[in-house]
Amino acid sequence: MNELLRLENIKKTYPSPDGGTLEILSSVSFSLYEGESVAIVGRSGSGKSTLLSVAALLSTPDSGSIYYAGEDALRLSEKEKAALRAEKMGFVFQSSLLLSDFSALENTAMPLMINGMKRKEAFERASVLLDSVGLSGRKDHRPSSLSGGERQRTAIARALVSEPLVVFADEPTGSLDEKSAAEAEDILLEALRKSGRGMVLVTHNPDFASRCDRVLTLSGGVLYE
Amino acid sequence: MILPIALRFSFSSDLNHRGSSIRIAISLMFSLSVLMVAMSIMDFLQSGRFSGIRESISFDITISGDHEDEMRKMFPSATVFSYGETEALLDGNAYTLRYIDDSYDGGLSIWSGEEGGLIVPYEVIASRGYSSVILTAIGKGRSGMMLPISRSHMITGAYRLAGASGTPMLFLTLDSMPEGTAVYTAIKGADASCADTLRLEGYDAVSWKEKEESLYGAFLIERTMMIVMLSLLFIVILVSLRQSVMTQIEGKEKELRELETLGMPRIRIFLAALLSSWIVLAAGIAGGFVLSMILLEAASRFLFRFFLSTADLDMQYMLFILFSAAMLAFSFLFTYLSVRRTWRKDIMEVLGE
Repeated sequence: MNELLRLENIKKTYPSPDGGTLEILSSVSFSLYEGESVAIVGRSGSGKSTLLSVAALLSTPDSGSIYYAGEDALRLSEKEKAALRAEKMGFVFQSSLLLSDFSALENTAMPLMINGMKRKEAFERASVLLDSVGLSGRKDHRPSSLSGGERQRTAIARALVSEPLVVFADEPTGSLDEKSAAEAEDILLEALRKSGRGMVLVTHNPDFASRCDRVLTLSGGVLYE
Repeated sequence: MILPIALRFSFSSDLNHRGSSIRIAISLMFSLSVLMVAMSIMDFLQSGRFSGIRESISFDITISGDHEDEMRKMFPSATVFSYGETEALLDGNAYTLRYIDDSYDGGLSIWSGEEGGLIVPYEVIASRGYSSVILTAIGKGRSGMMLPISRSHMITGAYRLAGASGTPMLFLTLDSMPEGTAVYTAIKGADASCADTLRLEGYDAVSWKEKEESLYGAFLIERTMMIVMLSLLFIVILVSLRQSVMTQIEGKEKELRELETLGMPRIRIFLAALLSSWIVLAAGIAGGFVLSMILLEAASRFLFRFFLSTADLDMQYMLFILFSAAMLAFSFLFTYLSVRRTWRKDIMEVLGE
């Protein structure tokens, strides 16, 4: 299987209130392969979201290496990192984080248009994805008039629209009811299985974690299998 | 992608943000229009005084001696005429006495008068009526010396001077001018700087600014102080603008960082934020322009009726463009500082994850 993502000896600290530094990640390493889903679990405050933001190149580690499809991602310029995120990554957050001034269709098409795709073509692709997640009749609705489950399904569609290599999901079902959460889990895992993409999932939900190919535990700044 | 994002962000569907944008635009509209109306009124009051002086009293350039023909050749598009001038006493009050002919173009409106007779200010005719008066002026005596000479003149009319009411002047015809009276050639419609050129050619020329040096100096000080006062108002507007931009950026902080997760480069996110800010400013500036024009028109009509005089308040277009450009420039700076502050925060903290 092709390696999509590899983190090597990642260290990340933050300034602490007393003037010192707080080590969140001390030496984190893991790899993600094509079609594989990896769940990262751990207690609150263990650094799971920090690990996700580092892996997604949204924040810079103090030391260590990150490789995307064999390419050293930390050597890239800010613009190149942004292009990598646009082309090869998708994100699903706990609170869906849709742009409130845009419709479900526009939100879904947004990564494509940011990457330079023409509006018409982007909308066509987004429309297909929204149909696949059961939102055919809600495309023109803004997030404020969508339910929590509908917003999260829109976020999933948006994460998948640019056919990314890796999907990063940070507690994607954390704010959903049981039924919506189950629907979201199914959509996400099914899409990954079909496409051969990888997923890094941060979750407190042991049932969702158990549906992934591997479960890693983050504790004391170190990742354990 | 930048423009659609900026347009949606500027007057967002989020009610708090939209309300904030509307308040910023309205506040800017009123501030700008107050500034422009104040500047226009100030300019009118000062220009009015200057134009009156240039029209009726000092003229653009005044040359000692009768050089009418030469000046008409040198300034073919200007109005050139000669007049005599001296000081005179009438009923113990000092006046400037001018001897004029038909070519005189000093903004003089005669209110009933006979040729050859004395034309006086309205308050004199109101107190003396059409009577004979003794005018004492300096003239050449029999011995050739310059002496005060008293002569009797019949008051035949009163006058009004364009834009220079209350100026103590008397008028007689040029052919009654005594020998030795100083003669001047006036030029209207020439630039005041031409006085320098004429002096180099040997003429004893002065511009209206030089002739009315102390008055012009006082006007400049007054104008400078008013500009300083209005500039302070502009600084208040800028402080308010900074706060507004910060509030706008903070309101959209989460969405700006979210665009980062979607792969938008930071420079384009900054441009979207900047454009969004400029759209709100543009609404305020456009509103300020329209409101200024309406207020100036209303003020012109009101002043005309109230003060029984013409009041043409002009929009200071260059100043308006300057102020608007300054606001856009400062908005660029404030947006940059606010967005930079946003970049410094941990993205997951901003996103609330």
